[in-house]
Amino acid sequence: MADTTTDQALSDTLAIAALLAQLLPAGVELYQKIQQNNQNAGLVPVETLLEDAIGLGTTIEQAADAEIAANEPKDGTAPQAPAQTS
Amino acid sequence: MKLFRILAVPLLALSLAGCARNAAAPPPTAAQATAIGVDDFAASARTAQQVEIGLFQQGLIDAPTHVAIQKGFKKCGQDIQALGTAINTGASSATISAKIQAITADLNVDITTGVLGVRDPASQQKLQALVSGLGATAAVFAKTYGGQ
Repeated sequence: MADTTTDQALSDTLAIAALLAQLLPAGVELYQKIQQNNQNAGLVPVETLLEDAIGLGTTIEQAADAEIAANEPKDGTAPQAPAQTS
Repeated sequence: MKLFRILAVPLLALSLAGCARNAAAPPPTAAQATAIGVDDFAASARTAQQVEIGLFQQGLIDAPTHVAIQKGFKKCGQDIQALGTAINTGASSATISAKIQAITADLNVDITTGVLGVRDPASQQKLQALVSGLGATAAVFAKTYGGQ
């Protein structure tokens, strides 16, 4: 792959993150991480980058499990509102 | 796409300013560019998940919709782990391509469909922007990997 294509791909990702940073406060931290990845492109080993990605994937899965366990009806039915007392 | 066009000019300046590479860094190889793309995607997915959880905690998303979206994020997290492991362990090109396709498919089916169930318009718009960003980021690393 030509370097220009690689650079374009990295710039595209950064532009997407920049858009999100303008839309959401949470996007600012994301933009900074992606910017750092781009600035250090060529310095960080592939294995290190992928291990970071795998760690994030694990975090996402665990957080999703916690949210599902806390909010999914245990018997497959919608949660019932508490019975009203007169 | 309209949103992307509106912000195109300030974004161009911002992205060009942010692209300055560390002077000591050699140009990234295609493999490094792919790995950066996967890492960027994972960070983006985590951010999107945190935003969705925050909206749910504010009462802007109902529980069944929240659970449906989180099931999509669970698959997404598993897909990221599978792709990262496949590349790191030297899996075949066909295997890696299949895992990239799985990420795109799960994103499109599970998370996108779940977000459509969000009734609060502002929350739905925020999540759609994040999911669009995720799809675009996945397309970038799919293209980068395909060019190796």
